[in-house]
Amino acid sequence: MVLHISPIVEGKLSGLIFFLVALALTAYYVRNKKVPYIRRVPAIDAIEEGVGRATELGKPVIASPGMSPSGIGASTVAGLSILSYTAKLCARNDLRLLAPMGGSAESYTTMELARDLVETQYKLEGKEAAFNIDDMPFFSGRQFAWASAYCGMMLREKPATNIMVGVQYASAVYISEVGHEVGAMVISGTTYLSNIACLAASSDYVMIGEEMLAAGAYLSRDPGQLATIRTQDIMKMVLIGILVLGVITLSFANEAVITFLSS
Amino acid sequence: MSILRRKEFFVVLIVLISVFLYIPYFFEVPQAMTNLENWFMDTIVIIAAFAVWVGFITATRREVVRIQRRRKGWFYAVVILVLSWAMVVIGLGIGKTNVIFEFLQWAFVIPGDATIYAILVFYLTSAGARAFRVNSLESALLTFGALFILLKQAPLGEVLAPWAGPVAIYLQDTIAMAATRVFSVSLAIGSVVLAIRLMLGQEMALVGLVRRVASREEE
Repeated sequence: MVLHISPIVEGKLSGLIFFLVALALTAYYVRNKKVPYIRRVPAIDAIEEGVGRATELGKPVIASPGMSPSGIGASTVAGLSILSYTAKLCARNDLRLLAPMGGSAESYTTMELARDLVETQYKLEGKEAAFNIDDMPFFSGRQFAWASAYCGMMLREKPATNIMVGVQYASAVYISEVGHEVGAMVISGTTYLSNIACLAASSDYVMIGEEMLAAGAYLSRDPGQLATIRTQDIMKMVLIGILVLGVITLSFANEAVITFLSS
Repeated sequence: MSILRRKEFFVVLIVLISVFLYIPYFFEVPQAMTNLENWFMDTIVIIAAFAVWVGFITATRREVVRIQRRRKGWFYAVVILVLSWAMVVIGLGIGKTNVIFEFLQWAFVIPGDATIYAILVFYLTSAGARAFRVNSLESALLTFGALFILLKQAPLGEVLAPWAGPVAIYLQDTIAMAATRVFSVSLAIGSVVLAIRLMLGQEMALVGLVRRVASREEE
């Protein structure tokens, strides 16, 4: 059985309720700026360590916001936030930042955005002349062609750190392993579930679950943004509660929770 | 300061477009609103189509510079330029179903992709070899779990160790599945909250202009 309340589209009721609750909570916490306790995220903290390592070794940093196969989605936004933060650190330390772009037809749009973000960070740090657009080349709209060119760039330039956060498919292991081969510290993050295990095996640091999506807020240190992380925790608790309730009710042949979730 | 450079302008734009995309998703709306939603989606396709050319021209520029300066591997830049321009000229001139276009696709693009994809197995093995070093209880559990899965998946595994199959299926369908669901739920929540942060103008990383404008104002 599915509940249908006009004019809500059938099957979207529970989604709408969750969305509105999340919207209300986020708006509340943004307004109040109550910063929750935020645990350290080693993979995000490692970005600074990686840039420091590159400074000591006098080698460049290579970073990518991923392939963005479906345009600028949540993962790509997170990848761009991290690329922007990396660019800021690189500009501050007079480091060269290599950012190979491509991977999908949609990544042409991401490329322009990424270039603007990186250039902005170099300008903000007063290192406008250090920004080189040729260090952010567009390699290919095809996944493996881009990955090969990415690896080729790593083999030629021998970066000290490889930061690959964003949409990463099968080519991710290829890139992270070549990074390991050239002696780079590999920091990765993806929301593509099948790849998380592969990246955990091949990277020095990996962002898992929503860590990557919260990275923008985490790095901004802005109370308004940090406060929104509390929404994620509350929504998680609500969903765990619904999960437990579902198990109990279903054990007594009651399908109320299933009906609600399907509605 | 021009209104086009203000943070509020971008926030209003994001909120308006989000509302026009969210409302038809959740509510039954008149056809006009669905048409507007489709128009937004078509706009994305058009912007992407123009962006393809921007990317292609950038790539061409980069390869030409490589050839002019005789950088290491410049010969490969010649190959890339010739092949990519050939694909464009033939594809636009005589169509994608043409024999020459299909030949280029099957002779160069597909084998290249397949080769790189095949190489992955070696990289996966080397990553696995590093990950499965037993130096703690967790890594021991991981290694033994992987061993069961390997025995089930390997061609002779189930003949050599028939007991491994049911254990591997249990690990995959119960333990690994539970962990996967945790990731799915947390990623879904993370994505929703990120979208809301964007709508509320809290995460303006996408609009790189904002910080630049802020710094100009400070100047």
